[in-house]
Amino acid sequence: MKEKLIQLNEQQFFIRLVPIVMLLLMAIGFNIATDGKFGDIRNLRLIVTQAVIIATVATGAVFIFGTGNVSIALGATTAVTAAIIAKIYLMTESVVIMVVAAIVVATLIMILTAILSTVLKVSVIFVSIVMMVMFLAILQTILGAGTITLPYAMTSALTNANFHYIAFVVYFILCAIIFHFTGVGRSIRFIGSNKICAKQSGIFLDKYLMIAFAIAGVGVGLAAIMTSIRTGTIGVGTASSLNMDVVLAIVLGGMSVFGGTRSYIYAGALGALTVTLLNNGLLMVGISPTILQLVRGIFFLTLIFAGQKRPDRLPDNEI
Amino acid sequence: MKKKVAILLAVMMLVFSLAGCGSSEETENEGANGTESNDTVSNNEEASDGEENTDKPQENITIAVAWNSMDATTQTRMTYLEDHLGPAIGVDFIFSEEISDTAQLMTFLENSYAAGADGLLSLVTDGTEQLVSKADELGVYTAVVSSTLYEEVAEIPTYMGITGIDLTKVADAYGELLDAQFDSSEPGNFILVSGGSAMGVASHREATISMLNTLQEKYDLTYDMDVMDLATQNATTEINTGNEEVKMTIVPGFPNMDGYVSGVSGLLQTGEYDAIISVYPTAETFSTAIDEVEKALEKNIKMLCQANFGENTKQAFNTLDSTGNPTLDGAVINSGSSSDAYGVVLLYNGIKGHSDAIKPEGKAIIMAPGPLVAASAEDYQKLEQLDTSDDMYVYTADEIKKLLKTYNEDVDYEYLMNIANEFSTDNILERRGLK
Amino acid sequence: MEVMKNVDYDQPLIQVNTLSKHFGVTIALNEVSFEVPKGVICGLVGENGSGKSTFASILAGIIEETKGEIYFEGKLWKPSNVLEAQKNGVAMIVQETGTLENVTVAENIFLGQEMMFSNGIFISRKKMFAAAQEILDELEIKSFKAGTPTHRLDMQDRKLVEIAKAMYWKPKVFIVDETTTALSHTGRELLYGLMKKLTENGTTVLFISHDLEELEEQCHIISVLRDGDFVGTLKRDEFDTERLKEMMIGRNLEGNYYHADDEGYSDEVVLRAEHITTLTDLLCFNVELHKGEVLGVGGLSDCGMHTLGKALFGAEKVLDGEVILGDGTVINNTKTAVEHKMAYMSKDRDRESLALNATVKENIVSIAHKANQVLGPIISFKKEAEHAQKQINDLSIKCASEKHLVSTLSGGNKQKIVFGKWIGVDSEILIMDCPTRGVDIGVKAAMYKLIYDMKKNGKSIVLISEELPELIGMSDRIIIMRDGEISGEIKRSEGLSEQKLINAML
Repeated sequence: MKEKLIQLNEQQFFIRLVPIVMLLLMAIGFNIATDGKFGDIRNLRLIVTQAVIIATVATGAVFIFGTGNVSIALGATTAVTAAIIAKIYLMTESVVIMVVAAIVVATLIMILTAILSTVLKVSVIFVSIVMMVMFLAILQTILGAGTITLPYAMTSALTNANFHYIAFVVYFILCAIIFHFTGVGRSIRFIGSNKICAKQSGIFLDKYLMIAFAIAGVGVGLAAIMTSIRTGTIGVGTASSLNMDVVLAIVLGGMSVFGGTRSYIYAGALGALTVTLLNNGLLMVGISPTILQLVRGIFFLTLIFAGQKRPDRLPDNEI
Repeated sequence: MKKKVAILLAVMMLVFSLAGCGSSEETENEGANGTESNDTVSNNEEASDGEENTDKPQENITIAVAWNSMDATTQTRMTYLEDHLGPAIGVDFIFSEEISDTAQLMTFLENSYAAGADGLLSLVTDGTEQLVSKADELGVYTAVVSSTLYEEVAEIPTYMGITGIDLTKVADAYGELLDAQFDSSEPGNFILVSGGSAMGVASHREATISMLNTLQEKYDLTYDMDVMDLATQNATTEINTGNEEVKMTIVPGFPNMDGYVSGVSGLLQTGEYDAIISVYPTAETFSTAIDEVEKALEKNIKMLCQANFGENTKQAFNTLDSTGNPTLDGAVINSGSSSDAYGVVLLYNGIKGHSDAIKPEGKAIIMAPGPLVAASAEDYQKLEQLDTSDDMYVYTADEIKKLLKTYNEDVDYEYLMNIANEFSTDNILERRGLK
Repeated sequence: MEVMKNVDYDQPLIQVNTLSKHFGVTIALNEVSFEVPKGVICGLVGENGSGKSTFASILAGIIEETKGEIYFEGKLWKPSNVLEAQKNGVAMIVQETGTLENVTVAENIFLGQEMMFSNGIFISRKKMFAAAQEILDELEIKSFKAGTPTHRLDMQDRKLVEIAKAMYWKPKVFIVDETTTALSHTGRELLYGLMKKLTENGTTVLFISHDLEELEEQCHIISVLRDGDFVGTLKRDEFDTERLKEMMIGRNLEGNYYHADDEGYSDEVVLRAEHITTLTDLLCFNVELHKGEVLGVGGLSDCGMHTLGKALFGAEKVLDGEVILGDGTVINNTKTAVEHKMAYMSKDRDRESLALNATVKENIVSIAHKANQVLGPIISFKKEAEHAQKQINDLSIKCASEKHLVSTLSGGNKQKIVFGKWIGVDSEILIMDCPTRGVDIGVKAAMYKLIYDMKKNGKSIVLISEELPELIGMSDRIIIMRDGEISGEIKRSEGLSEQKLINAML
């Protein structure tokens, strides 16, 4: 009986290992394919830098996905926040104000999304679609066909101060603590497992949804800063692929889009790493850009198929 | 459980098959060059502490190219670099996908660096300062196909220069084109597509200003704003011309923006416009929209825009629309492949340690091909063979070789400037024996 | 029940040969062998985990056996799916919902078979409805029509739809898997009538239920399973409740099932509903709950008692009037209720009281976060595990480990988890809606004892139930509801009897 117990435990453990194993396999594979160039420490550092922005937003998004909701306005929110804080910086020339503004603005926008969903009683995903379109329009209005440029001195200073890494690490630790070590995190995940049961257990759905969005908002704000200082310019294309990358990252990191108690905070970061590593590796191997999309698609499908534990029963939520 | 193992194996197989794929591509390049090793050389020291070997096989260098679009023209340019130039002068190329924002550009820079690139040629004109500075940190040489030098970063050692269209000649070119196509006795209504003028693309801005000035003179117009302000409008705007018979609307931006093509289509469908003049290649972009309106209103709408040498431009000039006129009525030709070639020249010289020879004050230089005017389909006929086959490139590999100090001792700043200044329609026709 | 006709025991309709089913580590059926003759109502009984549902599922084509064979009419029986089993003569209706809400009755009946009514491209809804109505008429179902949208029907009528669906194929074996618990009195009578009619036509009915009384009344023979093993079959003349219980549990069930005391309860009112009106069911309803009282609430299925339970807990919107605690707090949402130590166990256990794809531990601790905190909001894993383990031990919840997903457990154990959840946070006022539904005897007894212990400790309990014996046995006071109002109130001391209660219900 005990052996069988161990067997069972191992199986669950195994499932959680799959995304990590996939990542390692790809890394080894690419390393061999490029005669060791891929595994060079400089390249690996590059991958981490590139992955950080997605990882930050994805970590925050885990809270939203954990409740069983999906938002596709994350990229647009990042872009709008970036545009606003860039303008604020150009006006005030203060880095501190810019950072604070980023977090505040992004969090407010995200909370607004949550409020709209609860007040109008419309599913989060639909509200987010509307918000996304609205934000892109706002962005285009602010920018027109132009771009906002930030001075290189400021952006390089922040980059050299390792803003990306510090911000991400601090944010990740905070999120991990909240998600896995507090009642708030547990309640959020429980909502994803069964909304009705959560309600009947006295878990106030609206409140936790707002908390989830607020936490994600901080991540979006940080990401807005990171994007701005990485590229120095903000245009209509900024953060255009971010949302897709975040959803992909979360899925590849081993978390289900239905959320629930089987969600883990590291899924976002792990998945972000996987996505970036894949892009980097494919480029190094020398795949022609014309078939690059196709190859990438095949990889993702395989990874998702292998990694995801599809639930045996349909979720209890209605979308 | 079994299923998972099976899938793990499948993923591994997929990755390792790429391993095979990757190395076989490299061997192909080797074969073409006849060089033995494929290790990248990402430094200046090795090349400069050596004899000036003009005939001995050199070690290959790697240049990454950041494309800002992925269409037929890009294909032509890729073929030119990869199949024609590259093998002849010993350069391996890494090509990007279509890059639309600076973040992607930076990522491409980093990934290329990791893949062993020695230099980067960027067709993306955004974020030049960031690009060049970051590249310098990594030790990667840069050249940009742009018309703006960005003085702030001009002294960065690895920044070789820009090879976009010669800004000083853009205005004249557009002036010439418009004068050939329009007569002051026949006023009309125009859509001016200003592309990246509001985003800081200098050549687009110059072109737009030129259009505005030329038309102003031709039709005796009075603008209520400064021409510079008009040119850099960042939203579609109808301008006050002070002349009822001449209507002008400026449309900034690019097709990848929401509602762009439909916006122009909408303007055309009012039936009021007679011509579209645009600062970047739009022959294909608006062809359907124009065609519809021409058929519906039975009037000819002229298309004047920038174009590159190659099959598609030839097609555009030769294909007749429903009114019996050519689809493309006239063009300012920016020879993309020439800009690319110049870029490779700058990078190659820099990477091989000859920066001092070609950068007189240690600052980035401008080596810019001038724009050429093909005022009508007949004019283009003489040029239509260009860039369509190996012996018809605007610059052949042999000609480019002469611009590399490694192969030609005479190369220095002035030498390169002469070449650039000579660039004209006549010069090209003569070199290719098409005169 | 009329005298049984001669049953041919030599030509069994179904022959089971050393049938085994393994679910990973768990052995649900262990080389079971027995026979079921033609034309009888064969009861199949056993505790939770005995394997009776597993057997039914294999027979109905839902799952495949691991080892052994089933012979149906002398031929090997191995349907590849439910539809194939149905077409070949075995149909089943279950305890949980088996219909789709957002289509009509006719569409539910012919689910998956719509092509029968097509003329190549289109499906003739008219034909489909007509065929469905024919079945309904044959079964003498009058409360709805073939064209009624299913979401308008209550749980019982939906069951009837499932029955109609099963009947369409004129099955040779009709499996009724714990369905009667979902039905009211009328519904059950209908089902019994149907079962009788079927056996008259030579069909065998496999009747799975926990209700021994019901089984003894309706069946010709009863087979008993225990822990995956076949124990034996009793013929009608051998029926004996104690004997059956013993076969099921393997030990003697001692003492009083419910509780015999007449201790009464205090005068202190802990919960009160004042003139509450809800969207459906309740209009100006009043009720009081006292400390240490077990208040039974009974009635026909649609009398409104389920809504009452929700309303008292704050889970149902109260449009007028108030639900007030003894200390004056108004209960109008579940959060306040839980904060004031109220508990609610829904009748729809799987959907509302549990998160099935979460672990046992996660479910139990889902409301105990405050109690398990150590450093501000930080929760101690150790404390949490202890909290869960205590409940698992105290309530003898059968699971391999607390990391097990709740979906893998049996009905009785699931309900224990629900109990454990609320007991773990010391709930003072517990509202239970059909807590022993679908739970076998052994666990039921344990639950009754638990409820009794809670009452003795001064907790107050509202026990909403459709089982009269349970209400009679457990309650200090019973209120019977009819059409959203109280139609009768009987105190324990006055002497409760089923007849009195039924009179009040109808």
